[in-house]
Amino acid sequence: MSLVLHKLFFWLFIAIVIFVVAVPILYLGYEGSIGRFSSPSRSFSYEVLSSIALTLVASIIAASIALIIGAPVAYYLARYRFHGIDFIEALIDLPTSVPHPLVGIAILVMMGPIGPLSPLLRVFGVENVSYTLLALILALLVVSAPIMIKSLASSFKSLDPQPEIAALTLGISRVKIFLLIVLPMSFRSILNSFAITLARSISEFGSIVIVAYYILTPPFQGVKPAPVLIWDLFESGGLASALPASATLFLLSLVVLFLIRVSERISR
Amino acid sequence: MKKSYILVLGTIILGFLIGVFTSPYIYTFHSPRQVTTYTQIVSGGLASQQKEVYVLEAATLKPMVDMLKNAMASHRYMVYDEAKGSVQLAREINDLGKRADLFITVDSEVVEKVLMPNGSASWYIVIATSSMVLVYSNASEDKLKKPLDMLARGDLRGFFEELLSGNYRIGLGNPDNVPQGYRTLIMLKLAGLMIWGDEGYYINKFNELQKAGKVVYTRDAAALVAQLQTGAIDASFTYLYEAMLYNLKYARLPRELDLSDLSLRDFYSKANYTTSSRVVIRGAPIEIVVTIPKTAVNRQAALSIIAYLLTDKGKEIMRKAGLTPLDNPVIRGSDRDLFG
Repeated sequence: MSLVLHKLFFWLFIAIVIFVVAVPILYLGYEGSIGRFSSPSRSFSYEVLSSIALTLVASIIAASIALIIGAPVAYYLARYRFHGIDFIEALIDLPTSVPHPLVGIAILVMMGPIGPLSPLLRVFGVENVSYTLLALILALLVVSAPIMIKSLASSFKSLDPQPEIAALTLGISRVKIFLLIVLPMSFRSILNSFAITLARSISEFGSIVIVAYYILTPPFQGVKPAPVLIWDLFESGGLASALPASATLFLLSLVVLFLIRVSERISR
Repeated sequence: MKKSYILVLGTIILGFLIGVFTSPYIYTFHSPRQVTTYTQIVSGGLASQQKEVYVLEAATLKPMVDMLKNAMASHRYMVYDEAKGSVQLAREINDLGKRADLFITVDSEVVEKVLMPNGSASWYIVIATSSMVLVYSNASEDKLKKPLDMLARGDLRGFFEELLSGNYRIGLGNPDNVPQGYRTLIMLKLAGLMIWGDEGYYINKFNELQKAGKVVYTRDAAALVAQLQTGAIDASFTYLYEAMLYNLKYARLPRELDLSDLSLRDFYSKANYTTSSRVVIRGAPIEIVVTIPKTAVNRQAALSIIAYLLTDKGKEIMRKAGLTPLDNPVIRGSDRDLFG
């Protein structure tokens, strides 16, 4: 009896959290898909599908780059103590504490046609960075990389150090240990971090609305990222336009995040 | 055993309370027409005692509202404001029943085409005007020397040919959402009419430039300014008061094109723009309009603020914000909602 009650205690809190956190969004998805605002032609219009494709492609690229450049950083921060580590960690956290439109403006100020990095970009054939896929991915990278690094670092920290110590005593270098032992060992937490980072990228709005309101160059010419498109649809056509599109985005985000969780489970 | 009962009971009560207090926010659009939620009634009751006023204004009118806020503070009015794209704010009033004691925008069309058909407002007062100017930044001033010289000489044909030659990147707010954006397109149609007798002349060029990426839409005025000041775009057409607000350089256009002259209403209305949601917007003088939407809670205070805006002190505030206050404010619409 007491055991049941104790379980009930926690489940009540789970219910409250789900009610507050997920129910409004699920309800929105319901209204946009089969509820009062249902409109399959709007949910699956070319405009909506191409914008979701753009968001997914850009987010996956950004999350992958964040993983590649973030994993070594996370490992080093997790396993080493050095002077200035707090400072480095604060710098990495910086984008999470800045209003996101400022991240977009920062990219423009730095890499726009009169920014200090523009000569370098011109070498690679980028005349004007704004409204390019590059700008979109950069913005997503800036806002999501800190999340990737934080999440990876905490999982590396919780990893059992014994195999690494054993390898060190055999004279294997730290880089090799990182690549051949730590990475394979933490495959699951890498997938987990990837999912969180991807989710953050998919939902990003503030910074990309400045640097990539839509994309000027093929293959995504004229396509707006999904969060931007949905907000625009709301502005120009109210809930009847925005909800069917958001329902599709919710569904796809849910599928993507679910797939990652499942593959995480399978890899166990 | 007893302890756990108390815990469970406490949890149930806590969950119930959270539900009661969050559901009006979460499910406001359950009935889009019914706009007064429980919390609004509560806060509204308090508001009229404490003279709290909620002002929603077009983002570019923020400086004016800030000055108004300071002026009202001396009369013990607490003005809370939210500055955003005016179409977006109108949507939030319509669809989400957002509280707005006062709604100030730079386009009467937003009130007439978005708020009025939905029954969210029934009248408005035109209190001031402004004009469209060509804006550019320090970064693009040299680049734009040729068309600027032509404009200064009054060579309008040469100016538009050069500006739309593809040598310059031009930005404007998304015409479907931002009045500044569709006003630019209407102004180009008027220029085509004036110079060539063909309203499509410059619009067609403009559309081709857009396909080529030489014309870019931004989501709002703030994004436009960010693009302009970082050199990502070279020029834009916007309101005089906005140019002053952001310290942008600007060049004036002739009266026939700058949409500032109320006596040219007939000529301006020869051009129009159809949004993607099939709303036809007529060309009209730029009018700064104010209304009290149906979602207002503190009507009395809102009326007092409107009255204040019409006094000499109010007009001085508008002038400081770069607007041209009208000597004879115009009221349009019906008196249906005047008394709430």
